[in-house]
Order: sequence, then C-alpha cells, then structure tokens
Amino acid sequence: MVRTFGPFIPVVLIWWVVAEVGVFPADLFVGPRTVIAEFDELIAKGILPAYLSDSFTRLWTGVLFGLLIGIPAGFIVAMSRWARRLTWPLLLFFQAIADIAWLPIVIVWFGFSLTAVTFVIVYTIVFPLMISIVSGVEEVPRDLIRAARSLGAGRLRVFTDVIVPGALPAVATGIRTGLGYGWRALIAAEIIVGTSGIGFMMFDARRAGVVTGVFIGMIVLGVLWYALDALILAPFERGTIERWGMVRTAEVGR
Amino acid sequence: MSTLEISHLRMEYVDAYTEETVTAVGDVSFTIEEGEFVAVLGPSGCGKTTILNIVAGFQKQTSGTVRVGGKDVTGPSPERGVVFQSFALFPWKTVLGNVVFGLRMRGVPRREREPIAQRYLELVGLEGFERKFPHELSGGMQQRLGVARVLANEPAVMLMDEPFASVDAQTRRKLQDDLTAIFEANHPTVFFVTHDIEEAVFLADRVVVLSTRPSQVKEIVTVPLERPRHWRHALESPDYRRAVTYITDMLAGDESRAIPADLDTT
Amino acid sequence: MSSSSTRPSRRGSNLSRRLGAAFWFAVPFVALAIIWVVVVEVTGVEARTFPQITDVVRAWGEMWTSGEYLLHVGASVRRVVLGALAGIVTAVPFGILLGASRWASVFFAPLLRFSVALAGIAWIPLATLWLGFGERAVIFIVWNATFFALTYNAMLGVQRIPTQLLQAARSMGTSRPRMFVEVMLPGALPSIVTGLRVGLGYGWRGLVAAEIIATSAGLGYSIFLAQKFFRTDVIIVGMITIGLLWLVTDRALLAPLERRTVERWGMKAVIS
Repeated sequence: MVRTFGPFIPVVLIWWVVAEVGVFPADLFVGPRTVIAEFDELIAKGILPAYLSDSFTRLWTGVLFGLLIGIPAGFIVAMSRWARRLTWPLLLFFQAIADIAWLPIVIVWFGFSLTAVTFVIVYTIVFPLMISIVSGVEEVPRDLIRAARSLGAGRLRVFTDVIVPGALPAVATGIRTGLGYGWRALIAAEIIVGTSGIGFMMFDARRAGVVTGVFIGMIVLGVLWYALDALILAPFERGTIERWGMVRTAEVGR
Repeated sequence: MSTLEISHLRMEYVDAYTEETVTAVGDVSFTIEEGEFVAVLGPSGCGKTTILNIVAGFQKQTSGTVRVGGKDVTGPSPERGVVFQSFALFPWKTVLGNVVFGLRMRGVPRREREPIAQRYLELVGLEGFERKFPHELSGGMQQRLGVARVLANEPAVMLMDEPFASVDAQTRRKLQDDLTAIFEANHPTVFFVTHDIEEAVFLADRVVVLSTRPSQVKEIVTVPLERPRHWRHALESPDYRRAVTYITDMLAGDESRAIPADLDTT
Repeated sequence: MSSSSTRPSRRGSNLSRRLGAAFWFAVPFVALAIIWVVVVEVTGVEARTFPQITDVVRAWGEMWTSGEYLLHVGASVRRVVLGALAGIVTAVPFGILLGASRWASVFFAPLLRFSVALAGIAWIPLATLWLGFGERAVIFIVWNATFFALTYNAMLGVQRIPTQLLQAARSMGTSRPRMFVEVMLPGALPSIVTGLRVGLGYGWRGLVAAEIIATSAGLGYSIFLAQKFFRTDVIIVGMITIGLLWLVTDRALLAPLERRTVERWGMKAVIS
C-alpha cells in the first residue's frame, strides 16, 4: 500500500509548492488545492459522476462486444490452418490502421452517435485480441497437445483442456492491449465527437481556458486505468498465469 | 501375439530446407513382449525418436506395419502412453490433476479415479504433493509425475522418449534407479529410447541397437543382468561392463557418421 | 544406402520460398479487393457512403498530383520522427539510470506506471492549452507517448538483467559509466524494444488524434477534413496510408531492429 501510494506523495508536494510559488501562469497550471476544490464541486453538482458514467457506458459496451466477437473469432482462426493463412495478413493490416483513423468514416456512416463510438472501440479490441490469440494458440507447446492425445483426449477435449488454458496468457495480454487502445480511442472520440464524457469534459475545460478541469480529467483517467490494471487485470494474471508458472508478461509497461 | 510388433518400418520425409527426400528410418523390425523393458539405442539422428513417434501415433510411417495388441496403430491412444523429454506436464493442473487427466478422458468417475491416481503417485514417490503445480517441483519430480500420469492409464506399452535427458546427472541416476524399481514392482511393457549406452544396458531386458540413418536394426542384445537391479551393483558387475563395451564397440564405427543433433528432425 | 545427393542450388530454393511467402501474403488482400468490388457493384451503395476501389485510386491519384498527399504524409511522418527521436534520446538514458538504482526504481515504478497509463491521447487538451494548436502540440504528444513507455520499460529491463552478469562485469573492473553503456544498455535492450513498440503504438494513435483536433496538415487532419465533405474516397486513402505507414514502421524498422540485436544475441524478450 505504502509502496503504491508512497511515491505520489512527494510528487503531490512538489506540485503544491510549484503551484503556490507561481512558477507557471495560473491559467496554465493549478495546484492540488484548486483541483480538489473543483473536484468536490463537480461531484456535488453531479457533473463528474454523470460524465464518468457516460464514458464508462461507452467503453464497456464496446469492450463487451469486442470480447464477444474477438475471442471466438480469434480461436476459430487459430484452430484452422486455412483460416489463419487467409486472415493473418488482413489482421495485421487492419491492426495497423490506427483505430482513431476510423472515426471520420464511421461518422459518415453513423453520424455523431453512440454507435459510431462503439464501433471504434470494438475495433480497437477485436484486432489485438485476435492477433494475440492466434499467436498464443500457436505457441502452445506441441508436446502438451501430443501428451493430451496420448492420454485419450479427443479433438474437442484437446481444445478445451489444453489449447484454451494454454492460450489464456495470450488472451489476457490481448485484452490488456485492446483495453489500452480502447479507452484512448474513447477519449479521442469524446473530444472529437462528444457531447459528454471525460474526454469531452477535458476539452471543454480547455476551450473555456479552465485548466483545472483538464487536470481533473487526466487524474481521474490515470487513477481509473491504474486501478483497473492493478485491481482486475493484474490479479487475473496472477491468479492464473503466474500461479501456473507460465509468466508471459511479468510487467510490460503499458 | 506380442504386445508390440514393428515390421519393416520405413520413414521418409522431404527436408523443407534442401527439398531432398531423407530416409530417417530404413528398415526396422523388432517385437516387444508383455512385461518387457526394451531400450532402443542409437546415435543421434538415427531416427529412434521417429520410430517412437510412429508407434505413439503422432506420425505416419511411409511403409511397414506397427501393431499393438494385434491391432494396427492409427493415431494416439492411451494404450500407448508417452513420457516426454520435455515432461509436457499441464502447467495449469495440479500434480493430482495431471495424473487423473487420462482417467478423466476415459470417463472414470471422480470417486474411482482419485484413489487410482493416489496409488500411482505413491508408486513414483510423489505422495503429499497432490496440490502442487508442476512448476513447483524439481526436474526429477516432474518427470516422475510424467511417468505416473502414463501408468495411471495402465497402457499396453509405455513409450519413453529420452525422458531423463533434461535432468542433471545425479538426478538421472536416481531416476533410473526409481524407474527400475517401479518397473520391477509393476511390470509395465516399456519402449525406452535413448542414446546413452550405459542407461540402456542398466534399464533394459533387451537393447535394440540401431545403425545411423537410414536406420536398421544392427543387433538386439539381451542384457545378462539379474533383477532386481541397482546402480551400485551394476557399476561393479563384470556382466554389465561387458555388455556396455560390446555395444560401444558395435557403435564406435558408426559414431563418425552420426548426424549432428540440430539437423535431427526426428 | 546413402541419403545425400547433390544439393540443389540453395539460393534458388530460398528465393522460391520467399516468393511463395509473398504470394500467400498478397492473396488475402487480392481476395478482399475482389470482395470489395463485387459488394459495391451488387449492393449499389452510394459513393458517398462507400466508394468503389476505382474511386479511391482516382482520389489518391488526384491527391498525389496536387502534391497534397506528400504534404500530409510528410507532415505526419516528420512529427512522428521528431517526437519519437526526442522520446528515445530522453527516455533511454533516464530509464537506465533509474533502473540502475534499486531504490529509485522501486520508488518511481508506480509513478511511471501511472504515467504510462495516461500517456499520449489524454494529454491532448493540456498540450493544446500549453503549446497552442499546431505542430508543437502534436510532436509533444508523440514524445509523451514514447517517453513514458520507454522510460518504464528501460527501467524494468535494467532490473531484469541477471545479477550475475552485473557481478561479472564489476569483477572485471568495469567503471560505473561504462557499466551503463556496455552492460545495462544492451542488457535492457529487449525491454527497450518492447517499450519502443508500445510507445510508438500509443504515439502513432496520439498523432492521428492530435492531428484531427489540433492542426491543419497531416493525415489525421486530412481524413477529418474529408469527413466534413463526405469524401469517403479521400478518407479511405488516408486510412490505408496510415495502415501502411505503421506496417512499414513495425515490419521494416522494429522487427529488423529486434532481429539484429535481441534475437541475434539470443535474448528472447519477455513476450508482450
């Protein structure tokens, strides 16, 4: 606990001092006290919770669909040599097209709407996920599959009992990558398209020249992602992958 | 009817790099009777692992027949359990989970399969480790788990592919002693691939000595050692030394023609 | 019975293998193009919603001759290169220094992790506030994305160097400065390359977003402008260009970099 929050204390202190001393102009830089005050006000007025829930809803809708499409699709492609050959270059190419670059055409198709944003988020999740799953399945050691078959496992059991657990680290990695891109795409979309949400809040504050709102938005985002990573994604990895001694990504900074 | 019959086995494949046809196995024939421990010995690259893979059902031979219990081999089956050099333990399953795997596949209900698994864990000396995960075990223990996992299915023949190559020398000696004890207690039928002459002579009832690629059976040597066997006694036994020397001389001529390990595609 | 015979020309079979691989790589795209043409013809969808391949090619031709294409591509590439170089130059030494000190790395890790979490796009409103709209803000975003990811990963990379390696170097009389360059830098290279990949991934996305929001030139800007006029053909040209540029970066820059260093030295990176 101390180790996690400890380092932030001096940073906050330095921040406070820098703001008090007035190194930077007040319209570009505010200190912790101003931020906290504004934060309280936004909460009290219900503005921040509302924006937050808007952002969240968009994100999780997209993530849900992304997982529902990406995981099955990933495994289907991974298990068929022909499917892999035919789709792998396409997967790589579409992954290469930065998700945000889809925003303009998606706006042409769906207008400035939730559908547009959801589409982009689903896109950001599906491709890294599929790519991760396909390479994860490929990397399941051949001996494990042979061992299962020589112990009487049929094709279906090999899939459920060997391939899926074996590819689990890759699935976790894919989800983590996808989420990292996903929420970024969301913020960008909210800035460009938005009428609500954290991204919109930050840009709106910027437009009004109120840097406090920008700071709050960034801190909230950072804390949320950090919490998601530390409270959900990392424990999941620990509970499965590390417990099984298959550490794939000990700690890749993302 | 022998437990395992290999008749004029031949295996050719096309080298992906040079696009030539390589003959890994030339013409191999031998049989293994029930309850026998047979070592298949040969220099690196002679195709002995290929033969094991064919018997296991992982690869298909070019020509020749392989019969287990009178039936042709058509694919992997718990009848021919395999102990791998790389252990191939399921890292996400506990020790117990690994041992019951085959029983689960066959639909043996939990009530029955756990006692069976326990029995084999005790046989290999892993009792008390049921809840551990493979990566928590030492190399030697992991391999013993691999043996237990196969034996729990009571296969017609246990195929072992250089199973002790990945452990250190001292552990290897201990495992060889342990394997011999297990064999003498249970008498499974064992097909054991190795390139280590001393290991082959110590463990086996008979040693099938293969030539280099394209391999053929040079000779099948019956090991004149009595059972029960222990390393301590073997090392001092003149019969043992004589058998090892005999086979060593037989293979010495072939050594210079052995194929380097990293081109071995068996 | 000997199995060796005269070897066929190795160069010949190597070339045919590569051509084969290239062929198989192209097939899905050709198939996709065919599907595209057929679907547009059959469904008769309007060009505004989804253009035919020929429209896209034509749009690209127009942009090329008018010099617009190179203008935008050049602007984007320039910004990425500047931002990334700045990121590498600042982050790698900093990250290695942090990693070299046990207490510094333990102390800064959560902070860096937090910063990586935030890197790139989330800084756009702030960047435009501090630096105004335009070139500088965009380059800042690219720098931001690469800097944090690289620092964090470089730090982790140094931490992961086996202690025995450092001990060996020290017992051979390596001075502290030389430790950094001769042992820690190569030792942390796998992680640094990973960090570069992650950072550039975020940086590239940040670039596109920033260009949409904050500038009047560049690929992001051009597709956003095209959207206002419903020029989907121009948008698709932009998207394909963006995709190709990243593919080139990844395959022609990062992968060979990895091959020539990490793989050549037999150091497998911790997979990301």
